[in-house]
Amino acid sequence: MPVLVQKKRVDPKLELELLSKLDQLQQEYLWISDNEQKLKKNHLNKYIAVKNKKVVFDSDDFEALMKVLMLHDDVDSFAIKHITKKPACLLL
Amino acid sequence: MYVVAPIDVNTNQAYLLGYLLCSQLSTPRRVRFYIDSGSTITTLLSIDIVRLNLRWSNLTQTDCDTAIGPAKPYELPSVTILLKTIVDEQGTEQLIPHSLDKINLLPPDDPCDVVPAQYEFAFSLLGMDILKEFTRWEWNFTKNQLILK
Repeated sequence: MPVLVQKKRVDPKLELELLSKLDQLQQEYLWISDNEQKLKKNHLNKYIAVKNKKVVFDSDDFEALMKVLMLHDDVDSFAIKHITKKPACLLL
Repeated sequence: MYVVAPIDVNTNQAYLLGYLLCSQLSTPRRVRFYIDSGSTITTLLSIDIVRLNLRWSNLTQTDCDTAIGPAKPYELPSVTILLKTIVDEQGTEQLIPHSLDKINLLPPDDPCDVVPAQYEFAFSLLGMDILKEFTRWEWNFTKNQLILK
């Protein structure tokens, strides 16, 4: 059992809503992952914003995409990804 | 208690979604972090810094080494990260806070000598400052999950 410092907990009323939003965003990222090849075909070299398992915006420029997203109430509800041709390779 | 980190099937890397809280943010903001045991300190990268509208010019800069050379991230003080945690055998979920004295920011104009942070490199990193709290890690590539206990 890990030792966690729990000085505060999130208000339980707010917590349910926050958990639900996290789950929703998780589904968007899973959808992106599952549809990587199709996204490469249709949105290559674009930054995409996904919501409700659909690409709702895309742009060649990340900052331009962000300007559009900032007009919406819940910016964090969009999963954002840059779709590139190169095979995924991360060096962290 | 444990946390479930999905594994991205395209990169075989585990990630977590969590909330970030700090003095610059009026509400908790969602961030996707890659699980990075190679990072000493949790680090936000350019897309998240811009998306969260974080300001770094007045923050302290520090030195660190990366796999591709030195970097000079900015230190964002007094951060809490909330992670969805399963807290009992019934599967009850709670957002457990993890408080950090600071995390690192590598913004778009990072004066890194080797490779400046670019928007292509989008994924923020959950470092050992938080990961060390999980003493057992169980990788399951059949279910595409990393369980952190």
